[in-house]
Amino acid sequence: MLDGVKALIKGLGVTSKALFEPRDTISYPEKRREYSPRFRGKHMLAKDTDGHELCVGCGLCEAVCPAHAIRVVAASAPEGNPVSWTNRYSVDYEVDLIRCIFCGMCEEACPTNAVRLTPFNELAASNRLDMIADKEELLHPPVRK
Amino acid sequence: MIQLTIDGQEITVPAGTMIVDAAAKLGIDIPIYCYHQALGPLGACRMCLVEVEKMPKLATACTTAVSEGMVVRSKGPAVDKGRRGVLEFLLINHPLDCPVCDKGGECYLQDYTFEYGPGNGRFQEPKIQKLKDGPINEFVLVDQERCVLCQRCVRFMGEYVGEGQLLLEGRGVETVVTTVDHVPATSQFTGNVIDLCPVGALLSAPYHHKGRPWNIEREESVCPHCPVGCTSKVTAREGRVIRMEGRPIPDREWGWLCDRGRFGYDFGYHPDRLLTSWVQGVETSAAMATRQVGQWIQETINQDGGSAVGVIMGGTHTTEEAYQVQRFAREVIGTENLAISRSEAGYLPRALNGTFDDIKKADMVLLLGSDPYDAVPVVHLKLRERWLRYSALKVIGIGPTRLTRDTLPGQDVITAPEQSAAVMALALATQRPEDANVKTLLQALGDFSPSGVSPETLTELGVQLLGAEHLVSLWDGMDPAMGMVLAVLAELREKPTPILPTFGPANWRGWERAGFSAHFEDLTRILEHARDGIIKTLLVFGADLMNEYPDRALVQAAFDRLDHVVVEGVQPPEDSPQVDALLPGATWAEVYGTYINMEARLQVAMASVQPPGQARPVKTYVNTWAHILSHPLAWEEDWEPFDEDSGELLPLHPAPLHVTPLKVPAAIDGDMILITGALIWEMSEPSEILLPRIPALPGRINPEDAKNLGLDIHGGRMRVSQGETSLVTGMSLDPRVPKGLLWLPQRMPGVNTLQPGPIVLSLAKEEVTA
Amino acid sequence: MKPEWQEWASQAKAEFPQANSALMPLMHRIQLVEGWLSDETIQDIADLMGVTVQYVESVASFYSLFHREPVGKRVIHVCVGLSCALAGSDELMHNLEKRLHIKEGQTTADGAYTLLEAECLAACDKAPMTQIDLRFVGPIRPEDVDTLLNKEVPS
Repeated sequence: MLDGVKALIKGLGVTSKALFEPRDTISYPEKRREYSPRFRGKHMLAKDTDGHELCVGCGLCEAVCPAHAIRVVAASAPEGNPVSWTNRYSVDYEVDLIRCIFCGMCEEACPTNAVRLTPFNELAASNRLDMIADKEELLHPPVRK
Repeated sequence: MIQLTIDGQEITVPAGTMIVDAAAKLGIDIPIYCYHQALGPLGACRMCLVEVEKMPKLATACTTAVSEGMVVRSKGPAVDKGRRGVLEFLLINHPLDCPVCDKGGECYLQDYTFEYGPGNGRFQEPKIQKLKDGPINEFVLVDQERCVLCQRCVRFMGEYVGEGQLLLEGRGVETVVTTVDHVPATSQFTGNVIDLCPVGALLSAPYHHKGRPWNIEREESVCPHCPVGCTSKVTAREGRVIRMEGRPIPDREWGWLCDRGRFGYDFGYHPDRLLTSWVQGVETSAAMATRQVGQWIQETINQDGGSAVGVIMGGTHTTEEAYQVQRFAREVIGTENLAISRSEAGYLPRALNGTFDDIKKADMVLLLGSDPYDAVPVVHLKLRERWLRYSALKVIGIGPTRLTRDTLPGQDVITAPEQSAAVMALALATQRPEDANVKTLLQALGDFSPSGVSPETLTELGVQLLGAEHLVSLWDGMDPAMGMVLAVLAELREKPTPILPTFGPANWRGWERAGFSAHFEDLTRILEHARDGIIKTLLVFGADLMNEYPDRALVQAAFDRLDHVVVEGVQPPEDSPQVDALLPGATWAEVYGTYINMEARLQVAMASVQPPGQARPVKTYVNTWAHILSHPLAWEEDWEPFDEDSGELLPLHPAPLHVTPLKVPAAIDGDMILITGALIWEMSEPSEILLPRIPALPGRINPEDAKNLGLDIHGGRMRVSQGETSLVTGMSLDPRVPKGLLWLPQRMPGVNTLQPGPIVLSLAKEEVTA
Repeated sequence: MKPEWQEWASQAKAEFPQANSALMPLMHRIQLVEGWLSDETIQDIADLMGVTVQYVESVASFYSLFHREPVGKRVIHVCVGLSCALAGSDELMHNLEKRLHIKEGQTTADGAYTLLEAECLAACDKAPMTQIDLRFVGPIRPEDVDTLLNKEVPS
């Protein structure tokens, strides 16, 4: 009996101690955590200062990707309309964010520094297809609030 | 034989072997850019440096022949240093654009730099800028900055092909590969420089920026367009064929392809390709169409029996597909009306058929109506290689036009049209007048004397025909009488007399192996029976009879009379209104199968992609019809066209010799006479990539005739009339065509509305006004 | 093709054990008369020598003394090698350009002169020097351009 009361008080002690400790959870989405600047989230495709895409569609990211999450289709630049900074560009660039393991190998393999992993990590979607980021989506990276 | 040591391993090789080839036999890889076995040593790139004992400096393994007791080291600090230095020089002006280069990933400069090269160069100055992605022609792009000046392309075109359309221009760092006078290269073989280029300087224009080595799939295949059956590799990406490459086979094939084969792979993506089924002009589902055709076959069998159904094979179908069709035809329908779509009347028994190995041994080559450059281009290269190695090679062309070329010189016996067989027979008679077979041949000829061929020429030809040690004949198959003369010749000569048939379709030998008749008479009989109402339903697989059969009027009459014409194929035939059902078929890249080429060699082509739309392999249709006809076919045992004993070559069956007297060639009167011949650009399925190179002026006419007819020196369009029918086509001037003759490609649309014989030529009116 | 070329070709071929070696002497001889080698001339030379056009063009483009474009009556090569550069060849070139109203690599409007650069001509003792119609002329002081142009050069 006495043991029971002891245990109860001990337990309550832990509880009341925790009452005054700082909280581990935050009230998302009103509050958001700070991540390391090196955090790897959703991909983006960068452009140079003239507005030309940096991606030349070489496919090295596709080759290096351990999860086979990337698909690149390249083409010659249309006459008089250079999409990228050179005469080759990517027509299709798709990242399957369900498959992606955010290892950052694509970023490392990219010879033109075109594909980068942003800190954006809010990747939920209600549809599997929405989790495949196409080129248009990657060229306009969302900003993390 | 010479014994030497390479990297501590001993090997014995024939004298004259280069160190690099001896090393390759031991499996030791020596890096190379400029050397190619077909082209011989040059020593331009210095990449293959090796250490040879007792030699003061590093030696180039590709130009140093082996000698007795030689000790070679292909590895070691001295060799590494040498190669590192060479690569540093090669990379001084090489642009750093591997990410945009099509060769990236399969490039020898990348591979060797990774293996032997320096991590970085010491050259700080700006790199020289040159032309990038400039054209060699419609199919080949040149990036002069990436070139390492190995000269493989220049030597291939200049020495091997003999059409020196590429050259190195300038000196030092400013040297570039370009075309003579900067006009597009027109050779038939330009595509091969893409395969030969060890770096990314010469690129395929249709493949430009389309794939990378890690996202493509390569399957071994066979080119399906002509009976040479060149070994190739098909590159596919995401279910689409995007490239063809040559596939070298040691000691047999160099892997050359002609431009027609290399770039004509896109016929499966032609906008006209059949992708849905049509029944009586209405687009319908595959199931409905197949069932409808099955019911027609059933009706025909019920009313007139199985023999009222005819089956004709054509297109690019494989041997296995032909076997499936013939089993269906024989077992389910119960018909023996099986034929192959043919354009030429001749037939060559397997027993007389030679192989390409014979060309390597030949001391005399007969071109019988067949110009290999036009009909079977890669065979032209094989013949030329033989001529380069054995300059005493005799080439004799026998036909109505000149058949030898500057690149394959020889003598020509120009005969009047249709008289070649008689000329050959008479030439034999000058030497062996007593031979029974020769006598039979000449029995009906009487005192016929061929026009334009002197008795001395006949005697000389006869001496050469019987005197040659290894006589290879290339026969165009136009005149069946020539086939008989050739059989007699082979019988007369005790020495090897192989014959290579240059006529199509590409896989006719395979379909014959599968159980179809390859005789032209059987095709004609089926069409005549169809015209006469004996055959009611015709199943056509892949063939475009309207353009392939030499007499279009007969096909037209047959199609008009037939109850049901069912066409399975990749392209809808030209005159679809008379076709009752159109069923989309699979192309060569979409089915696995065997092709048997003109040397009777069996070669396997793997499937690379899935058939698009409703297109499906023949087996699917055959099985469905078999079910509808309540006679399901069992396919338990896999049929193999390969034979245990004969291996890659079809088994030899001795063919009995039946000699019948030659008919006296009918005299053809007329100022202009039409003759036809094979032209590779006009054969097989149409391709969009090839369009810029399809000759705009396919007809050929003697310059003097052209002048008399008022034709421009650059050629132009003319109207060819014969009785009621006429055809307007482009004409070019060709001194190889004798006066009074007009040459047209036999497979050009509309040519088979005309018959070889007298014609009337006039300038096309619309051209005069324009 | 000029009728005498045939003769020249056989003469040149006779001088060498290998007929191919005669190519460059023949090209020089023809260029001396024609001034430069046009596409047609290249074709003719190829026919005369029995080699391919591609081969002749490779040779013609390799050597800078074969001209593939029309040149003036006199071709002036100004040496820009190290010794001549130290002795003032750039100034000489500049003065020549000003005097002739053309840039390096061009021909005067009246077709009298063509001005070209040359790498070291191996006559450093005459620096700065020029080569006029295959003859070395030097040393030339940069201000003596007129003397140079008026000078009779034995050809």
